[in-house]
Amino acid sequence: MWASTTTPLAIRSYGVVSPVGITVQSWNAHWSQRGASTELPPPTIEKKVIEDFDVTPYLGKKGNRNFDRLTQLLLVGAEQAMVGSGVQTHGTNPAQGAVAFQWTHPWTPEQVGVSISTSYGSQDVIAGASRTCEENPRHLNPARFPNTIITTPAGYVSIRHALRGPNTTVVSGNPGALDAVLNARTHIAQGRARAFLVGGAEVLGEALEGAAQATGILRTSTPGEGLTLGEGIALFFVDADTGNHANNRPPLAWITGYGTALGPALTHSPNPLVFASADTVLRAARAALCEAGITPDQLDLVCTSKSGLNYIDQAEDQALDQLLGVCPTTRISPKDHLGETFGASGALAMATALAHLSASPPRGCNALILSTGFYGNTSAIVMQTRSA
Amino acid sequence: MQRVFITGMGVVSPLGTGLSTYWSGLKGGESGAAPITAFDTTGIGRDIGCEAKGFHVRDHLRGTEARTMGRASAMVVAATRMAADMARLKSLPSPERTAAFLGTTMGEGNLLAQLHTAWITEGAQAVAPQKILQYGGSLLSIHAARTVGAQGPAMTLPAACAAGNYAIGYSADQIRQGMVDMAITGAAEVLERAELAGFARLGAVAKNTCRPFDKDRDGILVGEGAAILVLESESHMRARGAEPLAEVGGYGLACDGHHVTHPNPEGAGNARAMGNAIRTSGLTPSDVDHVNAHGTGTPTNDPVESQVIRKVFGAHDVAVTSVKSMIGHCMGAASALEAVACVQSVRTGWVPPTINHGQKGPECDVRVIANQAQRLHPKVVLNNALAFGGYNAVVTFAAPDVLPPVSDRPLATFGDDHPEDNHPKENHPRGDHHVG
Repeated sequence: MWASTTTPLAIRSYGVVSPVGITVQSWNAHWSQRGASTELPPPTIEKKVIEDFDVTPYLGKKGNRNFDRLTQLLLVGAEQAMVGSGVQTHGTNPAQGAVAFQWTHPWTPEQVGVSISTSYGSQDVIAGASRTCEENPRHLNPARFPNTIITTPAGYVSIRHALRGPNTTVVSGNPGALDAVLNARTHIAQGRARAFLVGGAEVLGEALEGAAQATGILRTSTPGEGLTLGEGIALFFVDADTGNHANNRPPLAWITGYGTALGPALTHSPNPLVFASADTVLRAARAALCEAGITPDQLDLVCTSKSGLNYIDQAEDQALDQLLGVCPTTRISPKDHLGETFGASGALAMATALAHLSASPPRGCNALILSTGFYGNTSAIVMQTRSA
Repeated sequence: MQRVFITGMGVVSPLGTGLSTYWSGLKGGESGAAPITAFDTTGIGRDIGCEAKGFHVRDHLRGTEARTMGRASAMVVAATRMAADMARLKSLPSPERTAAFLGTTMGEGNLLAQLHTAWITEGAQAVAPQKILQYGGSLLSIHAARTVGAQGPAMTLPAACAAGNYAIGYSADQIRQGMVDMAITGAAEVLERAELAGFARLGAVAKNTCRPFDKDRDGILVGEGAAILVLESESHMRARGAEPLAEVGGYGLACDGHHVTHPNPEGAGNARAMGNAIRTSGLTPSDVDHVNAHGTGTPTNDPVESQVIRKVFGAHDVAVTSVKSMIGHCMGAASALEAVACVQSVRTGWVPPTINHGQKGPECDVRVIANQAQRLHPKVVLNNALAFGGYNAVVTFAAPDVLPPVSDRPLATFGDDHPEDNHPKENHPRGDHHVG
């Protein structure tokens, strides 16, 4: 066995494409300007979109015709993480006119997997297929049809980087990206891979925005309750090697604990499905801390998943008040900056924590990342730099 | 590390609802194919499918339940109740250590289509907010969990046409690793218009009949259904006095990393997954008595799968069948429904047939159990599943007393296939697909 199920995962590199930066450098620069939660601007009602994103400089001009926006963002983030890990370097393939990759690591493609969370996949492609089907099914584009399947973007990551380890897409709502970490860790522990690209991705589109609007969950005023929608992706290259990996790159941080919980069904609620509970948040957080072997007073930072929906925000506040007591732990809410990115939110919170823990000077070495879903589910992970 | 056993199963299928109806249909070589009634097939050019016509939501769900969930979720809840009954699971001994891992391709795909249709034809005001809340793919696992009172991990693995095996294999992993004691697992899929149209445009849908491994095969028939299995650790099962139906053996997982719809022509990923499923069962290929094949009936899938079976099993002439000939390709639910068939084969000794089988395709050099069930008394059955994206997931099922102790079972290997090229592949928009 390569690792036990609770062996820490080393984060070697990461890639981020977000409204506040489409490279790791710009991402870190953004967060370096912000010290703590008190310095964050108040939430706004404008959606957080990656403006003027042009994929050509990253993926080249050819072979990208059928990549939808989610796939494009994922491929750009995957390239950042893969090249950043030192496992692959850029190459060129003049015949294809596209960027290709060279393996520079003793691990084989069969030893690297992909585990990605998304809640809604390429929803505009799905909506477009429905629309076309309504008008004339014969006009469905067979080359784009596979993109209606939620796993296809992750499949393109494996194809582009020739990764032949397990490839999994995880859908568990907002906690999905943290659950994707468990998925990666499980396959590494079972000997199916030695390393993983793990994270989450979500894009905005007409279908998702229309649905959110119709359900009345969007923020309409400031201050006020409701979500601000966002989009973005974050991917991490992780492995379970105990020291520096073969390319002698020290880890940026370790993921040392994971916990998850689902609240019991509410029997006397008008909408028994949609709720959050402090007990569930607390259960997930304590499980993650227990696995990491640290106590709440050792936490320097908590990334909450507060989004503007009172029922989730209050549950997390109550749970953290109970967990942390009088500890002066910094709490930040990345969604204030990034909006609600659903299946990507946990990954973007991990990247936020990483930016804080690796800032100069570092803002601590132990972070708890929470991700609470709409249906009473919460997952949590502990990230540690062990530098202190 | 503990053994993982199946103690209950529930089924909603094109052959009927309930395990006994499903199994007697499979054993009897019945076909679930019929003209599609769920939606208008005009303009698609294909109109035959395998609907779960016998499944009526109101027969299984209370009024308030039925109003708050889509058809896929309703199938999950119904099948979960059947599985829990079979497992004699009246209350959970450890709710926080009980998981729900479900597979699917599109989740409530038909609900999404209804919402889009309302939006397109009548405007945004016609989109019912309560219907939107029923859509999320994560709800399948949440509903399964809530049905039995589980409060542990709840996750949906939408691994396209291999989703059932992904969910079952992952559940077994988590139990074996001690993360949970029990899991409600399986998969569900609903027949949906854009799905039929899309596969038809890919040239992957048969005109009338699904004929896996036959020389005249011309594609899949789309289907729908749900299968739920209760998995638990040996100690948990024994502590509550439950009876094992079968053991979940090994799990192999690999990605081709080759093309989004086009199989690796040598089947390298599938061979690796198959080999690892056998290896991590603590067995050798000659120990496997029967392969429940992916067997889509497409021109491309069946030869590649046959080649992989020959490569993995060598001279061992393992019995192969594809129940898709009877229930169609139920997409995300396919390998979960096939897993139930595997368990039933182990329990009853019967291997269901591949119906509609006339003359074997020249590239399909495997021993097909054609047209009539055979009593082969299999002790170990392998369930093979492939999917768009190049995903390969394989799980073995065994009689309760057959496999070696878990401590004697080796881990997976990475194989020896290396990339000759790692540049982006051009899309192949038409033909030559394996339907995952």
